[in-house]
Amino acid sequence: MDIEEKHKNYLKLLNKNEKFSDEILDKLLENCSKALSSHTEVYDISSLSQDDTTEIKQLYASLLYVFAQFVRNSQSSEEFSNFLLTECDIEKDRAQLLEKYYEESYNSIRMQLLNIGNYLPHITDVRWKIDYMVKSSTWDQSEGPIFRVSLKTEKFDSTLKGPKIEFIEFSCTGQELQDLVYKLKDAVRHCQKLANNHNH
Amino acid sequence: MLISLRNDHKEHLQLLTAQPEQVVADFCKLASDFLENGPTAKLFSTAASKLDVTVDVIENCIYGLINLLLIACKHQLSEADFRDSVLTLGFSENQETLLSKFYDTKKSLIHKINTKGLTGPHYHDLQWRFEVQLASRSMLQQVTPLITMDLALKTGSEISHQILQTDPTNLLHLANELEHALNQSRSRHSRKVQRALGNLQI
Repeated sequence: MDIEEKHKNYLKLLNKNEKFSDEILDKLLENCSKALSSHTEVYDISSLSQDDTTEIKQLYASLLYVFAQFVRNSQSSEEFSNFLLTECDIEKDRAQLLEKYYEESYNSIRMQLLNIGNYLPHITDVRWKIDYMVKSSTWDQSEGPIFRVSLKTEKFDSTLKGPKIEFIEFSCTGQELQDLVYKLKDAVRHCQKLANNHNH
Repeated sequence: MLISLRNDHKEHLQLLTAQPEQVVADFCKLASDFLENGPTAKLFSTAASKLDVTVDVIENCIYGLINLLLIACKHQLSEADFRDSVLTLGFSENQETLLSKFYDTKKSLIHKINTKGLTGPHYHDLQWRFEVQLASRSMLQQVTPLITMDLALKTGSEISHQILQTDPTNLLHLANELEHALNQSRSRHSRKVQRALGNLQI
């Protein structure tokens, strides 16, 4: 994994203790982990300092970049701090602070990155009801039970910028539902077998 | 039970009661052709010129015959009930034999059409495969289990495919919920209601 020189240079700004107090750095790091794990920023970057905020923005951008890159490559926090110490010459206590934030936000950033991509509609829930047909306009005989199934699916929608929920509705007879349940159970069994084999 | 027809329906069928058996048999054939291939103007006009009536009369008679069939099927008339109903309409016994035969051969076809009536998408088939996502652009190393499914739904005679996916936890939930539905349909409550509704004569 290669990190561009420009990012390394911006990270070296961390050594500028007089410009980046611990307080500012804490806020930057908190923002960074929140932005990557839940798309929210707690603080307004440009209001962190009275002076020119160019350097703050440069540092912030590089922090976002290296955090995302290291998580994307599944790097441990030791590897992260190693990179900061040897390749960017960051002071030890500053590197430790970054390492702490990296370790804490690793899993949530990872989850976020895992969710990025093209996915098919994902089934998250199911609703069902049982009907019994008593009479219809073309058929005097009663019939049933008939199962009305509604699958709740979620898919990321780019215009909504969030998950779009859709329901897939269908009906089936008892025999058909039996067939469906049998197939689903078969798939569940398969997953469980794989999980058990893995544990042993 | 005897079925009662609307007056105009009866009038349309009156044409046949006065005809010899051969004509009734021909009309059964015409109606049967109509059921399978839709209306054929040419056959109607030939019949009209033979009997010296307008095409409309022939058409109404064919429709009337088919409607008689639909009503009989809707009420699931037994052979005896059908015979009695036809005789009350003024058909002779020989004509009735022909119509009964016609009813008997078309019963299953009409039944098939009737039950197709009001139906939305219906479960047809499900295929699944178990996948593990190993990498993606945003996450280079991962092991994400996914179950991809092809749900085939049938609407009328058309089959549509829905490609869906889920994770093992939701799959388990889905399987358990649907099994629950299945068990619920066999519960004492469900069977009691079904029995009561099944015995109901409406």
